[in-house]
Amino acid sequence: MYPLKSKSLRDLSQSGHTGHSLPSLNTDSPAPSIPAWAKRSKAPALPELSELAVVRHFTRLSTLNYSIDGGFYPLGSCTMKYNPRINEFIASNEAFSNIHPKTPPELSQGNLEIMYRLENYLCAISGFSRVSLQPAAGAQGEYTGLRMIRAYQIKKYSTPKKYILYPDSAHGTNPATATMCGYQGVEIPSTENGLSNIDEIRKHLEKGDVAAFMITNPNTCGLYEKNIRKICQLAHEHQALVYCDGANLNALLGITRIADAGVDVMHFNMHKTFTTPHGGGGPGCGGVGVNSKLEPFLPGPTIERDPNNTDSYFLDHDRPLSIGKVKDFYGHFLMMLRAYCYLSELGASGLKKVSRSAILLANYVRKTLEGHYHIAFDRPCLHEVIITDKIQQEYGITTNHIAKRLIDLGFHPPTVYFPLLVKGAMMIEPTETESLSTVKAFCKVMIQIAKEAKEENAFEKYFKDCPRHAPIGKVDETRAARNPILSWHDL
Amino acid sequence: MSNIPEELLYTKEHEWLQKTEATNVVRVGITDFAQSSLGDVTFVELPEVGQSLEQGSNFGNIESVKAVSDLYAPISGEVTKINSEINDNPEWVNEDPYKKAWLIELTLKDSKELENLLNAQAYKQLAQ
Amino acid sequence: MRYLPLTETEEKEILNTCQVDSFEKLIEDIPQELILDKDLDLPPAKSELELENFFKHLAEKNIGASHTSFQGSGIYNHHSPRVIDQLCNRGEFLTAYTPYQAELSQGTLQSIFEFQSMITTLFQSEMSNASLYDGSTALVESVLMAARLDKKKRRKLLISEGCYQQSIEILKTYLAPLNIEIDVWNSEKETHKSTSSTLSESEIDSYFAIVMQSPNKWGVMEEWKILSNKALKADAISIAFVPHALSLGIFKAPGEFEIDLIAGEGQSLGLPPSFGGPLLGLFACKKKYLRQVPGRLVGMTKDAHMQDVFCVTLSTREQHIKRSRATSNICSNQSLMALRACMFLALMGPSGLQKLAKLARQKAFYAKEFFEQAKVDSVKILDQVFFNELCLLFKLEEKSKIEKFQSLAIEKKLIAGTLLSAPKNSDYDLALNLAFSEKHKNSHIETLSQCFAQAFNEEKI
Repeated sequence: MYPLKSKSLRDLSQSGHTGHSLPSLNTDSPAPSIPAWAKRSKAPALPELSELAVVRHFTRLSTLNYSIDGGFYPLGSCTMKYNPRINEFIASNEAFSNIHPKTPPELSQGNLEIMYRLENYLCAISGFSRVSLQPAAGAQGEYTGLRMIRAYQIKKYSTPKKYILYPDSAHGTNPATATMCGYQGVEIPSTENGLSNIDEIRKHLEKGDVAAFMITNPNTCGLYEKNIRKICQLAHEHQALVYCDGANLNALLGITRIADAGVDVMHFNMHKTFTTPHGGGGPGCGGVGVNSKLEPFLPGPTIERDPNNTDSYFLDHDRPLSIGKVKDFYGHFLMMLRAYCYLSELGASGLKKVSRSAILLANYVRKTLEGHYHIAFDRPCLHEVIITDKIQQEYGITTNHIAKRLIDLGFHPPTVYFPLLVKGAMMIEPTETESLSTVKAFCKVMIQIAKEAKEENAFEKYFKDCPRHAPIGKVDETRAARNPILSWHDL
Repeated sequence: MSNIPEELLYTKEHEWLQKTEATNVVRVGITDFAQSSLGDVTFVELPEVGQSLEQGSNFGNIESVKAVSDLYAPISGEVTKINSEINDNPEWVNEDPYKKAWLIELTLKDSKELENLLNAQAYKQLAQ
Repeated sequence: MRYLPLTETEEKEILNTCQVDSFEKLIEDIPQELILDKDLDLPPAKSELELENFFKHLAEKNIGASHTSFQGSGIYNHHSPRVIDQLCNRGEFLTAYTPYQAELSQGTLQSIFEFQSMITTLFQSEMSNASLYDGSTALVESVLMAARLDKKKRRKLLISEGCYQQSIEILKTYLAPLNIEIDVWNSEKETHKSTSSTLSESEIDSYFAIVMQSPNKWGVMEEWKILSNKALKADAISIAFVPHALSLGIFKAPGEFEIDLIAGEGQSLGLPPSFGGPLLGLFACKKKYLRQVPGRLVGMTKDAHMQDVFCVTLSTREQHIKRSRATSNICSNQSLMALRACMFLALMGPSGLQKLAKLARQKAFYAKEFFEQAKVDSVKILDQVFFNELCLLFKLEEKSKIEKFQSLAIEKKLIAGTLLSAPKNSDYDLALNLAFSEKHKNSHIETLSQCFAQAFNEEKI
């Protein structure tokens, strides 16, 4: 419908055009001139566009995006569930969004109450005694969690300890975060069943000087770490704590609570489990839950309720053992508001159905694709399932080929080549907001692709140079990396 | 089938070593097998001239679009030369890993260390 | 339930397909003793009507919503064209995933590329990344990057006293496990700026980086040239922190002075105050540092049909590849916020950005006149080059009168600024930072100054 080639704002710029509507400057009492040393000699050389030009530009650009609103995302580990619009409506209320963070607390009780109650809900869901909502995203939540562990170790044992253990299936943020906290990361090989290897963990714990074990549960293979209680006990026996990456929480809501297994700290991904929108890559929102051991070290200020007046909330800055602040102000408040709205709508009964549906749909995919694709782990999965290209490799077709072919058949590819320990992995997470009919349609197409791969001359016929029908052909990422062009200034 | 020149020596980490005309100076790069596993190379991080390396130590890395691979010194020695053209032409690593895409030259301190390396036959077993 | 389409019949169908007779058979990996035997302690579900009422009630508790705020200190209430909300609410932007599959994300990718381009222009730098969480995080990442770049492996950082207390706190949190010390470059007594007179030159080459903020926390514009000179002398990395991006509409950008790294807060570019989040961290630098840059980068390239297209690039710096040796653990950028800023800059253009900044500054001068007319001798109104923030300085014994000023203001539904400490070398103890915006009515400014006069002059009679 629109011309394929989207011009840039710079190309569309026309001298003298403006998209703003501002009041006049007061010519009666103009402000004194800015001295030469400080004055910008020319207005920034930005493009000049009318409002219509800007609207057309971004409207056209938007049509080049795949989105949840547009289609199914079977992306394992991402939990691409529908982003409810009531959340957006509530968050757009200026009574919530126009408030400055340093507004006196008695004037911003609504916002403080929202943060307090959201914390309570997350505690109820996870079993932790407190949750900090300050971290901006999962990675920052992880960082906050590890820093609290570090503070705990220093307080109790006068040393931060040296090592952080994590399985080889861990998400890349885990080792990166360990390094940022001054630790040496130790990668523990998983069992062939994709689970954490308790013997290997014991071996390393016995060597001593371990601050924590980082576990993802359910893990990145989509499986529940059955030995989690034992792992926690083992870690605690060796003066180590257990951190849980809560990326896959969508499988456990209302079914089990991570803290009950002995985990000391866990981060939430509001933009995964609790529907805050991905927005093309952010903002996220990553709360972090702790048990009583780590409570004193929470970033400040915390949100408290006045014991003498349960309708009054305040910020507690008096936290002598706190690790300090990790983020400006209180965190991503407007994303917290969305998550709070979602949880308020669902209630306990809705939340239970979330994980139940997510697990059912993922298992449906597993059973339906069985035989057509190699299923990485021969057992029921939780909210996501991993298949591989093992069968298709015999015909010279890889996960990458399958992913790009899917685009031509109208679907976003699943997560590919993660976790690293499963060769040629494709991780599929339907999420509970999808209907069974959508999931069936996806499986049908996957089966079609599996059949195509077996045909004579399959690569030439179906898989070469995919996607062939998307508005954009295969993107040359090598060229982008070898010759980085990062702005108009590089052209 | 990856290309494995007979006259070179190899490491388990897929580096090659070539003796040069100068006595005790060797040239190092990565093998054809390594470059094909990496994919299109985009950048090579090299050590500084004058740096001392131990056999097996990490002396830099090679980046492709999707991966990063560490480089390990096949022998101990001092870096005498680095290939300053390689980052203007990272594709050389893919196209000509044994000649144009040499990475560093090192002084060979202890020729006994060469015994720890693999000959072409032995490396062939690894590079399948 | 509207977000849970799976019916009971369909559940049975799935169980059949999976050849199990109950859902519990699918979750047998979860130890029995960990399975919850009662419902979570959450309130019952709500319908949309009930939700709306519920939140209306909560919104009413934000009494401050009907007040006029004169608070700044890093978060500002500037005009933002309404069309931005309309465009950003498009589901194609709002509900899109991170643009890893370039073929399916050109909308997001091109807008981020354009954001990078315009931030580069604004800062007059050589490149920008796709944004970071907020200004303070961008500052932290700049410092960590400078530490990595320092060939001499020094462990001391010099940071000017004019940097926000909050940013310094956050910096301290991140630097604590990494054995990096922080020294403070005290501000000059009269001007409140970071100058040579307060810096001991003898120690200067012990620093791997020097940080300066402008406008600083007292609203005063600092001189980037001084930062550049000191860093050169120390053979250190210069880091500029710009907490109020809009100020660059009329004030000189750090890039003009060959500053190495630039961190900033972009909230003033089309984002509401948001009770402090989400915000928009900005990062820009010289191109020679490219491989050490933290966060996401979008680059331009060609596709199979030789069209100009965009993709996430140089990901090898990032956590999902470099893992333990990543430049940072950062996974996301503030994509949707960067999109807002991109639209804001596109709509404003050079003339709008300049005019908006001038309008805000004009209001601050309007206020200054009224506050000076109150003739309160015990309070000094800082008279330096500022953008939109006035700074009132006073001694500890005047604090109760300042608090009186603030409560008189609240009675008039005005919020009178934020308190902070005065510079160490100053004759004064405390400061009140008042921020002015083009959105402020002159009548409110006048009333504010009257409250100020009243609080101090009441006792005089």
